[in-house]
Amino acid sequence: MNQNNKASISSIISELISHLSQLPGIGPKTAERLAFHIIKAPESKIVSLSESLVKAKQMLTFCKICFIVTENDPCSICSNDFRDKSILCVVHDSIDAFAIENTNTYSGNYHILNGSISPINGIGPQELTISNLLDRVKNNPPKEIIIATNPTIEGDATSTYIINQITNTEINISRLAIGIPIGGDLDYTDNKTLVQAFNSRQSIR
Amino acid sequence: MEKKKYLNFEGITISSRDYGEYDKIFNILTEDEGVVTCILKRIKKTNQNYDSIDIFQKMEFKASARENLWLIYEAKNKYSWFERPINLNKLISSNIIAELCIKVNSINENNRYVYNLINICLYLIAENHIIFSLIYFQVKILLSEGIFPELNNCLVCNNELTPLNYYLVFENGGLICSECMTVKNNRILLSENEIRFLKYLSKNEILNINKINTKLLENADIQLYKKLSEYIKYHTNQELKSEKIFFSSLN
Repeated sequence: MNQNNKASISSIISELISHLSQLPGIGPKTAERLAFHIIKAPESKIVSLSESLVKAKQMLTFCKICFIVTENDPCSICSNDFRDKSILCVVHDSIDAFAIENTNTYSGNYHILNGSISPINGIGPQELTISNLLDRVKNNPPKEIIIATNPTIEGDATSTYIINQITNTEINISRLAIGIPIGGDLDYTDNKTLVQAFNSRQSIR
Repeated sequence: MEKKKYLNFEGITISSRDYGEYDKIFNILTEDEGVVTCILKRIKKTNQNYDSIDIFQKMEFKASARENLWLIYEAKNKYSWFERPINLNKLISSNIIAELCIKVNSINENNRYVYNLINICLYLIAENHIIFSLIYFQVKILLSEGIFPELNNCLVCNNELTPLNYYLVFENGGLICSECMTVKNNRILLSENEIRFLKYLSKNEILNINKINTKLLENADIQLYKKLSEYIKYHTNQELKSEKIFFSSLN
């Protein structure tokens, strides 16, 4: 084939693909698919998408108290007087707090760590909001802290580190239970989860 | 139509990262292929094909091998080194070993050796012999890469070295006696004791961690680890992210 006849991808599309593939979880193939979807979609839809991207970046910030993603600082949770300020739930990301909020069972406050300790990715305690959490606990000690980090080795190490740093022995510290999911079957549950389920068992009478 | 070929293999999960909404990518150290990158689909949701999977577990896998990314279908737990919850020092040191393994080890004919080495080192870390484990891993990985420093003779005059403190010169890859020493940069002073300790580790394998001499464990100190770390960095041109966290946690 003559080189001059070879179809070359437009530089605008290449740029779009390159930007999209920098997003987490988006590989070059998916970026290509998204780019062509954007090109084919009606202009009004793409304009509103780009407007909401810019708006999100310009108008959203992190709450200075709990570090949740918010439009107002302090956030609607921290500034709500009806919430129980004596309980603090510590989670990895804002999205975890939103998941807990969706359950409508928790009415305390949050602290967002903005990740978990992951040395292999260069994330140590200093890269997270742990020091802010410790200041917060020191200045306004809650009655209870619920550690709701993910049940992974890194989540565990993060929670252990936090627990060791909290020296106030009057604060109750708990962790979310680990065990069998609702609707799950005991005989299909792996040994590790089963052991954790036994260790986290609850007394019912 | 060609029937899909499945591989059954044992491996140690050494690092992981999220991929997409429900998937994770794991670096798995295998006996035959070295480090392979694998995708576990829908791992973040309950999946009956996988046991609970995390880093630093020995597992049995069923996978189909693709060029760059292996697709895991089943994962069964065989062994975990660490009791939950793990403490931060154990996590950081295991991460250093994993990172060194991924970045430094060229993984060819030494796959099985490195696999067994990681096994032993994770045992040592689980037993709280953290610095010893890190130095032992450094020594063995330097040997397997063929860049372990010459410790018996001066690299310039070739005279046998009497037990004293000597400079390890990075560029030359070994010790140089005081008469021959001209280099001012990229060198570190090794004490007589450190040289003896390194020689011992290079010649001996730990087969049973319950039989390690306590005196041997006492010889492992953070300064020696830092010296070897500098030497490795010089030769491999690789910085370890987990090592930065390790050093900052010591301050």
